[in-house]
Amino acid sequence: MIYPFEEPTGFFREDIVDHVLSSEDALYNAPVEEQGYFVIPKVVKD
Amino acid sequence: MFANRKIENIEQEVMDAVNMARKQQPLLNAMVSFTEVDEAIAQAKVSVGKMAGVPVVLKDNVLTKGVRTTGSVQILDNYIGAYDATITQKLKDAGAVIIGKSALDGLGMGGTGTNCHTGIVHNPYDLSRMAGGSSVGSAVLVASGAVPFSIGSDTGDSVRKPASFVGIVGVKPTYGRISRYGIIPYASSLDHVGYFTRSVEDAALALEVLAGRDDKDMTSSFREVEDYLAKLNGDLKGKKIGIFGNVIDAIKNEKTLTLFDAFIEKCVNAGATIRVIHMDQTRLQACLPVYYIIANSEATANHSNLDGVRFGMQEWGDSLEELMTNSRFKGFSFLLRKRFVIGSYSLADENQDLLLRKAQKVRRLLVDDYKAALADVDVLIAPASSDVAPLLTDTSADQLSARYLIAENHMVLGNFSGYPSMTIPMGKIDGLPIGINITAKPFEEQVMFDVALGMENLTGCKNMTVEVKI
Repeated sequence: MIYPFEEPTGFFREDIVDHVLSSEDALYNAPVEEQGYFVIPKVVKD
Repeated sequence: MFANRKIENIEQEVMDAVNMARKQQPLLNAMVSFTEVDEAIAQAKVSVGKMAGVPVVLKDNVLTKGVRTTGSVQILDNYIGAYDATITQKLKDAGAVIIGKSALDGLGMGGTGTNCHTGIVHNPYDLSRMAGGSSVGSAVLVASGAVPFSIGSDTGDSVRKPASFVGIVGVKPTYGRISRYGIIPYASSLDHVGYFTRSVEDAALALEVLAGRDDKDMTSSFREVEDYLAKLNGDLKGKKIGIFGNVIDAIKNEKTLTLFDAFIEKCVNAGATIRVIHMDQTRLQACLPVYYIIANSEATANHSNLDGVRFGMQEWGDSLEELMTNSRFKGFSFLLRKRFVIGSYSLADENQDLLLRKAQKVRRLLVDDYKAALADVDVLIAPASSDVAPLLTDTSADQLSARYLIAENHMVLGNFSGYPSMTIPMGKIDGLPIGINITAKPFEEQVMFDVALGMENLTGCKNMTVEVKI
């Protein structure tokens, strides 16, 4: 049993833009942000 | 109460709530943060919503745009909600005034109110006792008289158990009845939004406000929301009530059993038909292990995004992996890390069939048993706990006893099945409250509220609050 019961929920919807977070909102909580990107430790080392 | 009552002086009522919660905070430690209320009061004054001017508190796992939402964990201590949860918006639309966020056992994991990031929350009836969990702060603030309504969430019994320990109404409606969009999850197949009130009438009205289809939550139901309050009928005559026999058998506390027997006698006198129903005892004893495997597995998957990269607290490292390891190690308590280890173990390829898939199969068997138990009755009832709220120092529970496995944890069946389930006060033992749990068939919240109202009339336990004393 994965979910309590089968209840039609119809989560397929039209492919239209809906409830989108702005970049500003999405990055507001980022610990380190630079030029609209999250910053992580360098992956390709020198 | 706020059902059938228009709040005349909204500003006064809200500020009374804020001041009382602030005054109680040093003793109860129930609040995480207070919110600005001026704008909400202004909006409430012109609202024609069903909860216009009602001061409310949200469990701190409910997102509120622009307001700190911590989930009661270090890793989200600095997190500011990027959007409103659907229920946050619904409450605002109904004219409610959110005065703050309440404490919880971290990420909703725990049932004692002692694993909150902001410290232990105390029971207003006796500060040396627990108030249950995980929705502990929300429960305590309704019981203490600070607010008449608060939001919780219920993955095992996290609304219904604390309601029992502090003598209030705690509702977990049918899975899918209330949108979970914007709630920090615990275990997606078990998580429900729930709430606390001090009367069944308020509980009926609140569900009208909170329930309904939400396209942002793929598990939310299309079923129409009923006029629960208008249809409310507390006549127990002819109501078929099942007593959960295994739970009664597992309770060894004579005072609880005496109170329950007297309560049942009142139900009979009011015209209800009573039947004692037993489920398969062996399977029932598997409830808690099944819960732990499923809940911890789902929690591990859900919280893999708490890694210190995109939001929340970050502990830098020389590599991405080290950054994530450092952030998660510092950001989660030992208890939460332990649950993630159990979850990861159950999710490992080599263990999935043996643990997670097996637990899901047993869940199906348990729900089939539960469905059969409810087939010929309107509701199934049992004491919500075997005793009153434990002392904070009490760690004596034998976790393999029937008392612990069944009497203390039977309400998890409401999460396995998704059936609507609520706790109302049954009475008091030595001055401390204890609740009765009522469960109905899926989407039969009206039946559940009707029976609950009839029982509330019998117990007289309505609008109970307690003055907080040192």
